[in-house]
Amino acid sequence: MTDVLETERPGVRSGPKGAAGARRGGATGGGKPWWLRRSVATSLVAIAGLYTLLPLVWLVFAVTKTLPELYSGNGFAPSAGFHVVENVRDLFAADGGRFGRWLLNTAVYAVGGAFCATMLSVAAGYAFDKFPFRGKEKWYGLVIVGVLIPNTAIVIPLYLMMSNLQLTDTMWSVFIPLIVNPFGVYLARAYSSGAIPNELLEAARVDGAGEVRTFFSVGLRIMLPGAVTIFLIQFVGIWNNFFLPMVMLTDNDLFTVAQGLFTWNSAVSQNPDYTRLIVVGSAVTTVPLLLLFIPLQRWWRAGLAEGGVK
Amino acid sequence: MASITSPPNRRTRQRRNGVLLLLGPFGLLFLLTYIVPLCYAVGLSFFRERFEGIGWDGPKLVFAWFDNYSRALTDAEFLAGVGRVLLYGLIYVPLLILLAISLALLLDSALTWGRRFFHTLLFLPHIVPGLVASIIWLYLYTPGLSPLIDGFSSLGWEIDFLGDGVMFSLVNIAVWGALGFNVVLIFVGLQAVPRSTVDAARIDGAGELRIAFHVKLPQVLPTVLVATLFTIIGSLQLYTEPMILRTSGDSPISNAWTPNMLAYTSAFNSNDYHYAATVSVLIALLAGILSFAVTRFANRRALR
Amino acid sequence: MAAGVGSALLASCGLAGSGDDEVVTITFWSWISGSREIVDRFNETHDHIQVEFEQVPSGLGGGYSKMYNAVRAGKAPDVVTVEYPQVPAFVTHNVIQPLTDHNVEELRDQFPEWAWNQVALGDDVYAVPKDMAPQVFLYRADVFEELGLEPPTTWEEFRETAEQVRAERPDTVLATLGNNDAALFAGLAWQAGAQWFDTSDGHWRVDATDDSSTAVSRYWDEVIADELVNIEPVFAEKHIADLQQDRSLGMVAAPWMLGNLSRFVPELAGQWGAVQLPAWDGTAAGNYGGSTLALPEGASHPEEAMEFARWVATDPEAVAAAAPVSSAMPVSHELFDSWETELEAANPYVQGMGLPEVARAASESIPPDWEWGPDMTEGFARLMDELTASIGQPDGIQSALRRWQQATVDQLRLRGFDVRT
Repeated sequence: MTDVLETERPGVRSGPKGAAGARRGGATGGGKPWWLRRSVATSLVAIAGLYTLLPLVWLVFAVTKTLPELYSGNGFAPSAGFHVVENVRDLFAADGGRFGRWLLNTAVYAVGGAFCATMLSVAAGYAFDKFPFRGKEKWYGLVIVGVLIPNTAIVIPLYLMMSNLQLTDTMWSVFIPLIVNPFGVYLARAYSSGAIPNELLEAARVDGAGEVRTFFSVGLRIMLPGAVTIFLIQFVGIWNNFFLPMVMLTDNDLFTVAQGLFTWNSAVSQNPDYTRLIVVGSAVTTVPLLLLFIPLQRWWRAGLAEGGVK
Repeated sequence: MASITSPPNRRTRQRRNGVLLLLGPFGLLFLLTYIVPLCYAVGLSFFRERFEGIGWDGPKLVFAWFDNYSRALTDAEFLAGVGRVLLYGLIYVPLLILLAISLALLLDSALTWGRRFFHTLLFLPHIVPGLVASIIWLYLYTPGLSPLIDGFSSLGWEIDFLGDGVMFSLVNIAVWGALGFNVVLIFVGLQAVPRSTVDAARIDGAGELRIAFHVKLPQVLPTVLVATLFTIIGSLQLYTEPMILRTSGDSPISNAWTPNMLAYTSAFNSNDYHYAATVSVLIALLAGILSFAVTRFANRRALR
Repeated sequence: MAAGVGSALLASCGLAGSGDDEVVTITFWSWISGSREIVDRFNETHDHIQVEFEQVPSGLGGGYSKMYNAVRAGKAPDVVTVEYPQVPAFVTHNVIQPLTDHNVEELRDQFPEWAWNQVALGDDVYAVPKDMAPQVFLYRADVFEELGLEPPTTWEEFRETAEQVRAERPDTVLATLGNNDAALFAGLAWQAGAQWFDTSDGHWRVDATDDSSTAVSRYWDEVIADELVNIEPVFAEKHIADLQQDRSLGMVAAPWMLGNLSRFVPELAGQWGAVQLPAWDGTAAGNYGGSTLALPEGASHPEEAMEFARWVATDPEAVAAAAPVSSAMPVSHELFDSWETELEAANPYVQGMGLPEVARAASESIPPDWEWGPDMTEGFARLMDELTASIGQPDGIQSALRRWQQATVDQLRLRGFDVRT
């Protein structure tokens, strides 16, 4: 381990494109040849990579299998029969085609929710950064408290409150809490202060533009990369959120995929075939998203670097 | 009030409208979905539903003072749940952060081949929903389904992932899901360390290991602390993973295994809303205390 | 003004009351197999009421929470399935409405006393018993014959038979029992004459550590310690493999369980035999499952809902509709004959094993005074956790019951119930 950490810096890299790649590394190191150090370093990272990958590989191969094949044979090899098509068809046919509905709901919650959350956060973060107003830092402190409260500690009180008003078990009961993201405000404020020069706003104001218009024409445009990061964080956050819909919803038609899979998982003892559907459903939920996110990855790093978890 | 009624000039009026329009929607929703429910929960926690006699007539609402709190603080289930979550955090947080720092330093060094590839690879689990991750691991922990168990037992290790080893199994699911994100987070911080600082240290004769720990690491310490803070808050919320592992039918996880599960069970199995609210308030308080401790620690370090 | 209100009222009464050509649609939530078929048959045979069926997760698997939530959210379905143990909780939390106004009393004579006692709480009747689950012993008749064994009639014989099976075939057991099946152990205690809950003196008495319960748990602790039965999740992978390969020869079961067997091990059709549960002294059976139909508070069509519930619980058509997919036993004794005929005709898996007669005899021997506590969702969850934690250890079940009793009493007192032990 010690040798591994002796590194040569390739220099500060600015863009999300990252390093210019690996270079000869051994020049400054003593003792061992550079390729040995490299191999050791790379294998350590590769072990982590393998650990990351294996469960996903298992999932992908499992999609090709019938129920008995899941329980027998090599987990890290596909089924010779390659039952992907039947499995996916059965998945979408099960329980009167509920899975498609769940997928659609999840997409609405995640895409719509993340979009609204981003707009609200960016506007609020910008306002916190660019306007002086009374009690500003106190209000901001309250938002930070919101960041630090575990989300789940809010969900049950929220349910209790909404059920008193008979608002639970509606799409809104899930959607509205999802679009409020204090952490997004925190990121947006940091991003705004780093990226938008005050002079630019002054110029717009001198031109006579109203504040809201200035925000949309100048602020939002400059904050776009930060907004994308907030969107992605919130999107994954919503996609991941299991507790809120679990608490709020009882109507099967409003369920998210996660909730649906959980319901099936609790019914495995009545119908063992759900195991197969859960595996296939997990893959159908996850794999397209993974493929979609690989090209988007640089936004993460860009946003995190700028937005200042500093 | 007087200052507001006096005619403000156009700029201040515009500015006030700007604040209202830009901050207003978030502020209102934040109030409705965070502040009001929390206050409502605090309110609920001072009441309780009391049955009388056999109870066929239903419960009556009575003011309870601090009864619910004293009940929670003497409730073996709640205390055990808090203990479990703390133990879980005590294993999970350092393990995750140390692994993430090591991998980030490795990736930041010029020594690793295929860095972009590994970045992408390690990041993947972040996008896998927690429930799906739990399900995949549940199957990888289930005898009969799991190639891992077969593999281990051919090596002569009989591991009971869902029995005695369940705490480790939960930590593993969480580490798997969070590692890549934290690696990228810290890596991004490392990238921002100016090369000149590193070079200066090198000219002063510092070894590379020394540079890693004394030059690079202090620069990313704030990032590491933020990551730690969020991981601690996250570990207090433990719910999905134990809920899934519980469904294996043969696991030691009870239905009130974590405070969060207790809150859920109280609300939805026992219909004891007041106790559920109390437990939620206590979870928030616990998070507050831990956050406070971490930020205090961070500020002390920063002052040095 | 007054006249206007009056005529509006009249009009609305007219709509609700006569409704000759008005079709009322009601919703029914259940997870019991055969429900969909029953609903379809009801809809075919009724014009003015149509039922929409919604499959919900099993009660303890989330179905009950869903019902509570729906009632709170003001979206109550019209009819729900509630299992016997949960009826008291539904009543104490005001989730279901009393049926006294709907002439439920006139059904009383059709039902056995124990079942009626489970739905008549305090001064009202809150649910209509639909199916019941007298415990019986299912055994592999073919393997028994091969080994020259007779099905046991007493628990002493059960033990001896188990030892014989072990001696003949070391990898085989007489029976598999669920490792955390709280309802199963409750049923076994019920059979032995225990009474875990009792409200007959005007307050709750909780006693899961009486002589009968202790005798039952000691018996099973010993049988388990001697490895004479398997204790593990039933219908899980290993249990199914054991069934398929003749390594597990029996189950303490109830009629509905044949449905599970036919789904999980269809190849064993015709190999099962059914007898009365082995006895302690004198014939008795516990009840192990079964369900009732109840009307949630706030449901908008109680009249129609009650008509549906009554039809499901008392009409031979309902039994006929469910028979091909469900082997659950109706509670109304007027339905026994048609159940026997329909089940034998529609379900090849149970043909020739004499299940209906055995179950019928068992149902008549269920002790009538058993009651359930006011929070059995929590109660079963806790008992399952306690059993999982200590079953298989020395005195495991006994200690689980002791801890459960204590925790239950504490919990109920905390909620204000008047509990004495």
